[in-house]
Parts: sequence; structure tokens; C-alpha cells
Amino acid sequence: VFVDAIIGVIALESGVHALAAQRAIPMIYSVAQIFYGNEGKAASLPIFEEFALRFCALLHNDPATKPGGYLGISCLVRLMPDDWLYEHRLPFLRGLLQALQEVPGIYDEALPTFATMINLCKSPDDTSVLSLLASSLLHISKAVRKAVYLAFELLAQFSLKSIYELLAPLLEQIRNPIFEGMLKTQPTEKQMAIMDTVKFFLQHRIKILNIVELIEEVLVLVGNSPSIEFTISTLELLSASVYSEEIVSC
Amino acid sequence: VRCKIFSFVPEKLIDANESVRASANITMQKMKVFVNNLPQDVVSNSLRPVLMRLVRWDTTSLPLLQGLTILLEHYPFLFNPTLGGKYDFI
Repeated sequence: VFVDAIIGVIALESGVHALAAQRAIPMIYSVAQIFYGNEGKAASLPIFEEFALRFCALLHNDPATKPGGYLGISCLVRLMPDDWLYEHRLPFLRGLLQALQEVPGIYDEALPTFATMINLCKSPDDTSVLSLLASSLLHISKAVRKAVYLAFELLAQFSLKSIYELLAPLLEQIRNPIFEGMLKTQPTEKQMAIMDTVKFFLQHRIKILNIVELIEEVLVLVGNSPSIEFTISTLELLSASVYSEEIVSC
Repeated sequence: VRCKIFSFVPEKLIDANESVRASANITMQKMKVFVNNLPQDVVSNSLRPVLMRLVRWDTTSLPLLQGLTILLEHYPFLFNPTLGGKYDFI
């Protein structure tokens, strides 16, 4: 009943009420810490597992409850110990990417929370996070793509590897969607996702497809597109491709 | 493809949208590496949309002058010094 009440208020109320309900979670945690005497045991209480599950579920249901889901996850990320967060890394990262896509106006606030979760995933043997990130590289939301690019840069920094080394085992997985069809057969959002991702790869010297063919196709498409975002994506792709081997040598 | 890239960018330097101009500026600066190897007619044709806007005072605008500033700053060798005389009305 208590969890239902907190989740209900965070999910459906806005402003002061949602924040008040959110404050109840650290209170429960500090009482549990006093009771059990350490962070780890307090975090292992099933109530926190229940909060995690329910906040993630809020992000996948009714659009009205999505901001509440984000609020709840960000509260848990600030509050809970690293080991507990690491166990919940995949649902939380998925939830935060979902929030970046669907909750308007949270990008600046959600990015540090996302980066905190990525900070916990330093282990080079953990391919689950890399695989999740790779599957979101061509996401139609620009906010999600930017978060994913940042995540790869952070992981490369932590593991002292290049982004190419990180992505090498996953290149086949990434390459397939890019070759799904010709660029012009894709919707505009997908075209921009492909262009941004190819730009990201070029910046990190990852060869993924024939850049000359892609650029020729993009230059035809941009002539017919009135979209400012598409023009900017095109210019950014051109800028990144100028030093690529294929362009220099052609 | 380098010719096509170079043909596309200069016009975007004078676009009404500031973000497009900023991206075009970065791309234009990077293209310095291959501009010397482009055929002269490609370069002239790419600059024409910018210069044509300067012919009449009523098509002159701040984005146009800013774009021209970038071109003159990074590609002074593309301009004939006598060209300046044509635009002294500015």
C-alpha cells in the first residue's frame, strides 16, 4: 500500500506533490540503513527492488506516467549504492534512454544521471551494456543518439580503449541496419540517424560503409529537403568526412 | 564527390538560419585541404550564388556579409583583388 501510494503520486501528480513523494524514498532508505547498520543490507530490502521495477514500468506505459518514471529512476540513481545500481544497469539505462526520447525538456538534467550509470559499467567483459548502446546508435531520437555517443566516449575513457576497439565485436550488429536499404527509402528521422552515426564513426576512424556513395546520396536528398535539421546533419557529415581516406583519395 | 561537396557548402554560409551558417563555417574551414585540387570552374560556380547576391544592394544582408567574411578569411586566394572594386557601394 505504501509503495503504491508513493508510485501513484510520483506517476500522476506534478510539481510539489511528486517531489514530496520522491523525498519519501531517501527517508525509507536512511531508516533501513539505521536498522540494518549498513548500506548493502538496506539496499537489499525488496521494497527498493519493487521501486526499481515499478519506475521502469512507468516509462513503458501511459505517456502521462513517463515523467514520473524518470523522476523515480533518477532518485534511485542518486540514492542507492554502486553495487545495487550495477545490478540494475540494463533496465535503468533502457529506462533513461526511453525518458530521453519521450519526456520533453529533460535532456540537460537526465544526461548526468545517464553518465552516472555508465560510470558503473567499466568492466571490459560486460558486453551487455555495449550491446544495448550499439542497438540504440540508429535511434530516431537525436537526444538518445547524443547520449549513446557520450556513453561510448565515457566507456572508452574508463577502459583506456579506443571507440573502435570497444565497437569491434559489435560491428556486424551495427552494420546490418545501416545496409537495410538505400538511404532515400528511409524516413527522414532514420536518414538523419544514419548520417549522425556515420559522422560519429568517421570521427573515431571506424569504417562502416562506402562513404562516397553515402555522401552522393545525401547531397541529392538535401536538395529536396527543406528541413534545417537535415541540412545541419548533412553539413556535419561532410565536415567529418573531409579527412576520410576515401574522400582524400578520390 | 569533392566537387559536389564544395558546390554545396558556400551557399549555406549565407543561409538565414544561424545554426546552418555555423555548421557550414566549420565544414568550409575543413575543406581547405582539398580546395586547391578542385577545377577552377567548380570553385567559381560554387561561389557564384554568394557573389550574385552582392550585385544588388537590396539583396545584401548581415548573413551574406558574414558568409563573405568567412570566405575571404579562409579562402582569400579564391578572390580576384579587382573584384573588390565592383562592390565598393557596400
